[in-house]
Amino acid sequence: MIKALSQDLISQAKEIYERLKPTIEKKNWGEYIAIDPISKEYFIAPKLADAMRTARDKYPDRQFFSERIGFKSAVSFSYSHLHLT
Amino acid sequence: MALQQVIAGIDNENQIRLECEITGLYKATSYGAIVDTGFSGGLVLPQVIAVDIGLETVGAGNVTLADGSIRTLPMYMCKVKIGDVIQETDTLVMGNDVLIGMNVIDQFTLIVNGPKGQVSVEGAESAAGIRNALIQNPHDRLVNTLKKLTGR
Repeated sequence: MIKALSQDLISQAKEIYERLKPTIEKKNWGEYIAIDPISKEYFIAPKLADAMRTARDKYPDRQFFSERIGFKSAVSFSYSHLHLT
Repeated sequence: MALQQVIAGIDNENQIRLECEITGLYKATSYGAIVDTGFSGGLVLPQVIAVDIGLETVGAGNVTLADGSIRTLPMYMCKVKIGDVIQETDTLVMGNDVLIGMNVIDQFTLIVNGPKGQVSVEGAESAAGIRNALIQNPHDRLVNTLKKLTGR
């Protein structure tokens, strides 16, 4: 049975991401990360679906927290990050 | 790259729509999906369609909504076929329309003929090349630097 992401696991995954940020933002800015809060493993790929698929292939019974590296969210509507004023 | 004929056009609300086949866990169905270049993800499906075709849950992620707010929402995967190109893509469930975002569209070249209301879709064999060329452009290099600095 797939283990759903509880609020607690999401918080743990966000903490893992915050810890990784200084390192991965230099190397993988703009790519996507899928984090397994249980094993604390993470999977980075240029496309979100690829990061999630790699994570799912390794842990088919788990769920993952995703982010876009260097951005505030994994995906966005209206894509307003170019507002410079 | 030649692509199997794709039905695409501009609807009476001035939205670009293209025909795609979406395959979930239970079945596949065709839709005239709206092309949303402001959506950076892959696919958005209304709940009624998501339940009908069945989606694979893969977890959750932060999503910046159109009002600028950020919410952590469930994320799913499904397959989308445009022409003869099949992609597995990230999927959100919300709203009332099927939206195709940039994570799917970046595999294609879309040419919009506004006066004629026509849209042609081609496979983007050189999408990576175009993106690399843009990054070489001084303006884009500046924008990319600012993005890195501001994280936005």
